[in-house]
Amino acid sequence: MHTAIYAVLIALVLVIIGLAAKTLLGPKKGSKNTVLITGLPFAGKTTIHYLINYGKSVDTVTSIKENEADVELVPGKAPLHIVDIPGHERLRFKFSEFMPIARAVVFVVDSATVARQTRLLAEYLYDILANRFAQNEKLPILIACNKSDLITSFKKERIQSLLEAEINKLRQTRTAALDTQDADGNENVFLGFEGQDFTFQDLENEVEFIECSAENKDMEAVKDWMAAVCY
Amino acid sequence: MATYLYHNHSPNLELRDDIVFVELNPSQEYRSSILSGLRPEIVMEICTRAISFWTYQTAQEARFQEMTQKSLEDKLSALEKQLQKMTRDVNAELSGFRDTVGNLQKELEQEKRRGVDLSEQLDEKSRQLSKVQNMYDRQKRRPLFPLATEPPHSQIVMPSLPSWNPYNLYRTASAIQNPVGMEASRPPPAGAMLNKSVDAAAEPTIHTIYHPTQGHLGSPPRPFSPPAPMPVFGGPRRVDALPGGVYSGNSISQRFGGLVLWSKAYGPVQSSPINSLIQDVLIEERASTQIYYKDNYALKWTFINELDLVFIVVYPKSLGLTYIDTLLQAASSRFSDLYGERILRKSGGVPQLKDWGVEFEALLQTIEDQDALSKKSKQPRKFEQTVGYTNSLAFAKAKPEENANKAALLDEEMYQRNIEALKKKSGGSPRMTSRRANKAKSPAGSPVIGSENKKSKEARTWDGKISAKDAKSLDYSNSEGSNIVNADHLVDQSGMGQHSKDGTYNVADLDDNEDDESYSDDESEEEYTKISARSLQAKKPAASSGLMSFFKNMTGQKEMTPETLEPIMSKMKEHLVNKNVAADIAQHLCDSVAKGLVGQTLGSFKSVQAHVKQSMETALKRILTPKTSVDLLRDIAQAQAENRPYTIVFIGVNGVGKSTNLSKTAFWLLQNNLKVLIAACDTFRSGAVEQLRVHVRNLKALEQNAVVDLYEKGYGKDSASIAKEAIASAKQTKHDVVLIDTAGRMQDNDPLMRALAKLVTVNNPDKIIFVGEALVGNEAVDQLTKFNAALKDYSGLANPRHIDGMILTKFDTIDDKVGAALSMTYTTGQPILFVGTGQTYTDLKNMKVSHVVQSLLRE
Repeated sequence: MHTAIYAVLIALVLVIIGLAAKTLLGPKKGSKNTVLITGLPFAGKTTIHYLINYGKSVDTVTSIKENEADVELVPGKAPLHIVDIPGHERLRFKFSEFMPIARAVVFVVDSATVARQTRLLAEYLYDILANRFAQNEKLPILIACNKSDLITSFKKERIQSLLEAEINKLRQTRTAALDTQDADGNENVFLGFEGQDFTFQDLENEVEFIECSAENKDMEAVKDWMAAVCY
Repeated sequence: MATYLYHNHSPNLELRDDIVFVELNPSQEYRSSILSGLRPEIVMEICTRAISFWTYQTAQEARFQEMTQKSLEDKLSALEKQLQKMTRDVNAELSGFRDTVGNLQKELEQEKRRGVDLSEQLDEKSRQLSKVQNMYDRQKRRPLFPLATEPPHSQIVMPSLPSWNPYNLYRTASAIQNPVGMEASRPPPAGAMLNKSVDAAAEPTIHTIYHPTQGHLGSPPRPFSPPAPMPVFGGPRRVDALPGGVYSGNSISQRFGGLVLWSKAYGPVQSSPINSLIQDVLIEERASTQIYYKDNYALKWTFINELDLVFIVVYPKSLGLTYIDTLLQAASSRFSDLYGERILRKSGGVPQLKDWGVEFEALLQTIEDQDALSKKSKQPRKFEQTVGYTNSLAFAKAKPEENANKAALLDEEMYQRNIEALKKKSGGSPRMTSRRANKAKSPAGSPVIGSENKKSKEARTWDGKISAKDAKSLDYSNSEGSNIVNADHLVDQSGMGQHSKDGTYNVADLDDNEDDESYSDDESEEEYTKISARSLQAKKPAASSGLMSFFKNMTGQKEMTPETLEPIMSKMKEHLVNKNVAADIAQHLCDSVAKGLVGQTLGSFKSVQAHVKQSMETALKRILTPKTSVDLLRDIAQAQAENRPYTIVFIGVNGVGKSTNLSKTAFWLLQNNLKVLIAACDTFRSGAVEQLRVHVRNLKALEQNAVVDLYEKGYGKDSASIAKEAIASAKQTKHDVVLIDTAGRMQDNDPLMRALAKLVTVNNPDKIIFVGEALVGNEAVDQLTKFNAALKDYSGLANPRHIDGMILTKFDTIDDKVGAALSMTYTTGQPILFVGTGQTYTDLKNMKVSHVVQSLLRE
């Protein structure tokens, strides 16, 4: 009896080790397949994450930890690893930890509050665009204008022009900022072309704007974009 | 003469006082006709009479006027008096009301105090009980080991009781439990369960929650805090007394990932206190506090770290609900029992929580009804028949009496009696054995998730029950019978739980009785009460996953408990203090991090130390990462667009480098083609103005076409007004930025702090920058809190200003002892804008968070 149990145990151990090896080594072996979902607090990142991965709309509060999931967007293809990064300023450093493995970034914007938050949005977006990995690998970036169901929401063209104007100012101030202590100096990239107003077309990254609504479970466009970019 | 008769009115004068006014206005003709031809004497006579009559009339009139005046005055005074009286009445009424309110408040306070006293008593008694229990357990163990049976032995044991150390015992206990294939027959030390319960109680969670309203927040955890109390007093009754709609509680279980697993509101909740809790407390690593107030709500929470879950209860802060902690504990342990497996398995998904609503309702109901125990005494109670129960009861009863008199001295008789009782029970002490058997049952000994943790929780519950029993028994007469009955209610209540739930913390275990059957057959001994069976049940789900835990043990996976963390955390704290972090802050931070670690399991090849270090790193990053924009230039651009100068005030204690870093900042701004005006508001220290003048001269020399000017008014003037003039002049001369230099002041210097608050209030600068030395240690906290407090208290504004950012100077002198950066950001929650790293104008840098974190953690 005991031997039987142990045999089972050993078999299980082997299976578990196999699984662990797969999960540990899997993502690193293949090409990058991680999509980051990020944005300001209350933009609807976690809701979108659960909609895309589990097709459920859920109640959420401010996230403390990132949510991760693997989802097969296109049946038969390798699953995408989707990470929802908390939006709170204090936790923002997490996005730079995930950038090295990112394949694409979804930047979620609350279309209804965009006018009030333009500067915050632009600053975060600037950090993402100016990130070394985003620059080197020309990561595609989707700006998902969530909450388009609200009457007060802005159209995506309006959001784009607001962000462009703000980033235009920011790139002046950011490049003029003081060096950091150990001054490796490689983080001060200049977005777009000097002497011209900033537009997203100037970037080498592919930047797209899509209107969506987590409230109406209207996520198809975002999913399509992910699939198009990653496969 | 008749022709010239004057036609007279014929007035009717009815009253004596009546007066008739007649305008006679006689013609000249008439006058002369009357007096003509008369002798001069007669004319004189007539005139005299006429005049005297007129005089008389006038006098009469005057008197009449006087009288009218007097009557009016009387009337006025009467009215005044009336008014006064009314005012007095109203005032009296008002003060009466006030008194009533005061009395009510006093009563409330008294009630509260009494509640605290009672809970303290309970506290004390449960401690006594646990001591007795411990002794009892030892006694019980004696008969099991033949050598130890004689009474003399137990006497020897006794004196050591006061110094009984749970940690030691715990270590031995867990050492015995850990071997996986332990035979069922081998009895673990009977003290194990109890020790663990006390251990668990020493965890800060429970302890601080226990006195949440006593201002114990943040006080260091007492080593022996009582187990979670059963809310027998006050609390529940209060809720019952309230009319339906007033109690709006809200309970939520939440994943760290932001997903709300389940929530239930008993009333409308305005705003979103939960988001505030997460943003203000949990993310800021301030979780070492136990209660959080937001608007009208009080929030309490508890973590299940192994599942990444937070349980949050929101209730109106005006209700001093005392059972919230119990509810949280009970709900969380019940929840992890029921759904822990599933959540772990489906990590990431949306777990289905069917039945949890019902479970929770019942749990809440039980807890709220706890004080209505007596009503339910008719229910069948099986526990009372337990031998162990009677035994412990006897002890519980006897012990407190003794204890009340002398500290912890039991007499020999006591022991004898106990041992006899034990022998009578034929050695099989029901409760403990059942536990043991229970443990033996689950082959791996520990469930997949947080085996240690769970056990400790159960144990705690158990202890809590005892303590409640104890309290009960003390409350009532000493006769054993009555005691049993009373205590029984309590036990029954929790154990039987009509709806199969109970309010107590342990209840969680007990709830599982639905699937009893599977177990009951195993425990053939009759003494195993329903309770024991149930508590076994509680472990059942864990047992199903026993294999996993077996592997985890095999591969060296271990769970972190407060005990394993404690030495590492204290080392970590010491390390941080050595890095110049303020001691208080190091303590808070370590507590908070430890709280987030307890219950987590470690991977096979990871040392606890490395794991602690990693989560400390994350915590440090969180704290140091600014939560607001630090892009000063962007702010200035905004001000330019609004066509006003951007003002920055530099404050700080003496000699930290305010003027120096002000000029460094000016240099940087000048490089960005901004026009800078420096306001010399240090009108106190001699040479301060001259120092700035030299800086301005240097800056002008350094940069071609640089626009930098000094606004100065000499010494001894009011700095607030100089600043105001400077800003006004900057607006006219189109300067972009005004940098205001202030005199250094010690944080304890009240008049100077008032002057500073005035300067800030009058000028409402865009940024208030605190300049602090990186060399400062514990002092940093004091400086910042006092500066902030002064800005707040002396401003007289509804929304007072606070420090917006900091410059850390002399950063080049401290090597890797960068603790001040952490102390300052943790104290204020504000970012460090720049660090000063040298003597030249270019030695002003942005702080790099990762650099500071690395320095802090470097050995």
